[in-house]
Amino acid sequence: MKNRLRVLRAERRWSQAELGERVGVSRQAINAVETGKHDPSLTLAFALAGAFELTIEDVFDPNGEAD
Amino acid sequence: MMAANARRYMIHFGSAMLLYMATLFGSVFLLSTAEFGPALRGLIAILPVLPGLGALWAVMVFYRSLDEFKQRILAEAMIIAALLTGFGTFAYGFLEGALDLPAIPMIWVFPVMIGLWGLVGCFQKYVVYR
Repeated sequence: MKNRLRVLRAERRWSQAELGERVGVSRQAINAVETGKHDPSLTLAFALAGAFELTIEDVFDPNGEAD
Repeated sequence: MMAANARRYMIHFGSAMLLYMATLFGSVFLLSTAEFGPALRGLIAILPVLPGLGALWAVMVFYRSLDEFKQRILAEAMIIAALLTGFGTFAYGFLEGALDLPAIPMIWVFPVMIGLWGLVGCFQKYVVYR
């Protein structure tokens, strides 16, 4: 699933570890979501969108393939 | 610094293993030095398994403390390890009958599966999901 995590993170100058800390998962989990190797659970997707103060649709595109 | 959940796991697992080793030595010593009836002999032989259950509990507590991605890696690795162990022992059974190979004691099945779990887990972590 395509997502804008890397761009959103870069805009805020957050590292993967920092974003992970904000949503309660490991740096590896953030990396796996960013690279499309792991589709997050609904709980994690909401937490990620919430961390950027956006909606899930603003962050994830269910129709797109990961980069 | 080690994460709190990993530290807790080391303490739980380490304690269970120490207890396991103590009961194992005690059990082997008793069985080799004294005579018991079959029921008591079985009970003494199975005694080390009890602290072993503590180690299994420690693994489950640790697993549940992980995030969803790490849980996924461990779960996938366990499925692959279980399938490889099951299939490997199944296939060996065929060869055992056909080629008159030695029977492998059942006690090796669990260590092989856990060993494979570790190896497959590393492969998943450092190659597949890198």
